[in-house]
Amino acid sequence: MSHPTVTADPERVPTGRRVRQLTSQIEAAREGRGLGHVVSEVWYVIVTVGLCATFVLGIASAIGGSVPDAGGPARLVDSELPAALVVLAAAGGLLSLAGRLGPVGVGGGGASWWLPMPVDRRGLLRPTVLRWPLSAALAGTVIAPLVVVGFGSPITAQRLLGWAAVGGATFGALAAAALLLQSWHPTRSASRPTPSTRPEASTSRTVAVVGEVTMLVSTVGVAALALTTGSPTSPLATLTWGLGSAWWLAGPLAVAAVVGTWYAERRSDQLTGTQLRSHGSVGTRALSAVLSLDLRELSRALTTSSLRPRRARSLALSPGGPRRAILTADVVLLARTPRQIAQLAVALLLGVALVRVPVLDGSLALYGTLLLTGFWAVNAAAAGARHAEMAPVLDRLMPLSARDARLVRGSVPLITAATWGLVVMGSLAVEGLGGGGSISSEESLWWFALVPAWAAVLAAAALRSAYRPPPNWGKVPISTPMGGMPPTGGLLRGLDLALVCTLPTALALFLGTFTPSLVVVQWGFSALGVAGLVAFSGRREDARV
Amino acid sequence: MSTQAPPLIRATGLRVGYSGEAVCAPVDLTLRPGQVLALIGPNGSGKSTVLRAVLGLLEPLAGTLKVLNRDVDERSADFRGRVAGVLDDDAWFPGLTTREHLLLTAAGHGVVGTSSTVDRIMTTFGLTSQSQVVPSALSSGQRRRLLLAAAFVRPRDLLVLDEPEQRLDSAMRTSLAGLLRAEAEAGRGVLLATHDPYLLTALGADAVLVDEVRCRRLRTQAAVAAMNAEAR
Repeated sequence: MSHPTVTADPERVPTGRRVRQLTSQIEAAREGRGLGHVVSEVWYVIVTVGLCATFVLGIASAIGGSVPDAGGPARLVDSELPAALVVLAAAGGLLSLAGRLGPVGVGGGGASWWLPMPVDRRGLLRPTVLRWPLSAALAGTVIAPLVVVGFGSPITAQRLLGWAAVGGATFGALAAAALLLQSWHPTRSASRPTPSTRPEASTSRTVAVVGEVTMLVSTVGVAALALTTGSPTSPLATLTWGLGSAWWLAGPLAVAAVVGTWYAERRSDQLTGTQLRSHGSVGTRALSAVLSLDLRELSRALTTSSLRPRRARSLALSPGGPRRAILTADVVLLARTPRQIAQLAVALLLGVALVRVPVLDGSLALYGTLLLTGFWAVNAAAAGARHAEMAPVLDRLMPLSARDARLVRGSVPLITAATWGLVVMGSLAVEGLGGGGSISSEESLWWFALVPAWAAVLAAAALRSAYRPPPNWGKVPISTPMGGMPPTGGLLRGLDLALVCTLPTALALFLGTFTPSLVVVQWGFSALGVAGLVAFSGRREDARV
Repeated sequence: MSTQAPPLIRATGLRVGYSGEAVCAPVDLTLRPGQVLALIGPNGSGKSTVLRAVLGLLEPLAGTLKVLNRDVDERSADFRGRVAGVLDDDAWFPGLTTREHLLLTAAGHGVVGTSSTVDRIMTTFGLTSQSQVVPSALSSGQRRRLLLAAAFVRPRDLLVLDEPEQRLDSAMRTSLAGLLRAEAEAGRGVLLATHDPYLLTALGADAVLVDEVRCRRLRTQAAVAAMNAEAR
């Protein structure tokens, strides 16, 4: 084999932008991206935007029509404060996501083939950097007015535009701040002229934690409002707070977003390949999970990146048998995963607050709220089962059958579900006993009776969801704008069980009355669901629950 | 020439690892232009971690590491242009063929005569018949050859390879040894981690035995003996 010689001219090294364009052109040539493709893409965007606008206006109209009259029971303060808190919680969610994904990262082919090139990184990363504030601003522009409409505030064009402007500018500014922090390298000294890369990781973690704390505090605020407004002595009951003249905040926030993004883009050549690859890998995993509708993998991708790789000390665990070992592992995992604890707390508080939102009062909307917040809360506690499905290392070390191991993995979700039921459904019942809300005092007692039935169903559903089959990479991938993604048959696995086994409650809410017989039927459905799960758990048609 | 020129890599008391925890004993090594140096040791001993530090993909925990006579900073375009690395990363652009990946790499490094250079490299690595195939459709060995080809299709002063013999057949391993010897003869430096005594013998290279207790430099015969002892 002869040694191939390579001649290079440094003057011929292209810009990062040119490398992106070249890659895109080659891909376009294969995919046939001509004028027809552009026209069809533009048409697709027009149709999508039109459909979304119609959808949003339809929801707004429906919500507006379903808001109780002024004489009805007041559930939340007559102000925009709760809506502002929910928007703030959403902004916290954005920060958390930005911290976990970088925000800037380069995954897949870009990490292996672009990053080693001696091209300017600014040009290479520009679209990735700009994507965050632009997407965030767009999300804020849509989310903020939707939330204020959802809280039943009187809808005027001025109010909606004000909220859209403040929401978009706030989200954009926060994304720009996360970008700036990512390229911050505080450690420079005479002994180390090259800035350390370690602070990058810690600032990303800090951004994520700040986002989660914001979510938690905002949700606590919403829940506090929801719980206290029923009391006539509460100072919140008479509080009126509106965005009103504060819409002008959008101006400085938008300027901050633009300036922050501009400065972050200029500093993007300071981002290290290590962090770009690391964040890109998480981003690729998360994107793949989203496009293949695999929420379990999404949770794994976002959680794994936040787990601390090292602990100051190991717990001294006392022996107590295989079941206790697995249970302890699940509890320790939950305790050491701040994101799951935050999710649990937010789900609990959201449950308490949302059931007091006027448009969700009674009816099937209340059922949907209970089902989704309950399932979300219990899923936070099923992280151990999800990890065990992926890597059943601990389970295989234990002298337990697959079924027993899986059922033990259901313990923490069951305890969590019972806690959620007592807090959320219990608060509804207590409110009914006090004469508030749409539930009578007699029906309140039946709500208490439903707590164990719902707890068992939600725990079983979380377990079924955790042990669903992974995306099948062996099958023909589904074509998406982001590339080929594996098909998955398990998106609704778990939620389907919860949905079917709580149908009696849905029926009761639909009919608007609770009877002892319906509660008994609900108990029966729950028992059947759990029995089915136990019977099929660990069976080998593919050893899935 | 090789003993007089300033070293391409100089590591003194270099500690590498993750989360503040070193994975091996402090490493001392020097590699000058025209030299080949191997890192040997059992799986998990820290060879790949040392390579990642040399490539600027991992910050050292302690000690001194100079590559191209300066601190390692892969954000420098000059560093990326002069140091080529092949680790075990297996990622591709799904819409690009094997040849197009190499064309992109060559173009990105300012190679003159991009097309003809890529064709020669593809011939060298036995990939000509796969030029229109997307990498995901290649066999494991062919994908490995593509990664190696990407390092040879671009200019470099230092080549860093992590177990390049993996997934290659014996004929290709022999060819690879010839290519690496030619690299040294052309005045470049080669640092590689390997488990292959045959490759080490064919290269006639010194090796650094990476170990948890003590890292030490060995001559070729002693290094091969250490590898054979480890295999037993």
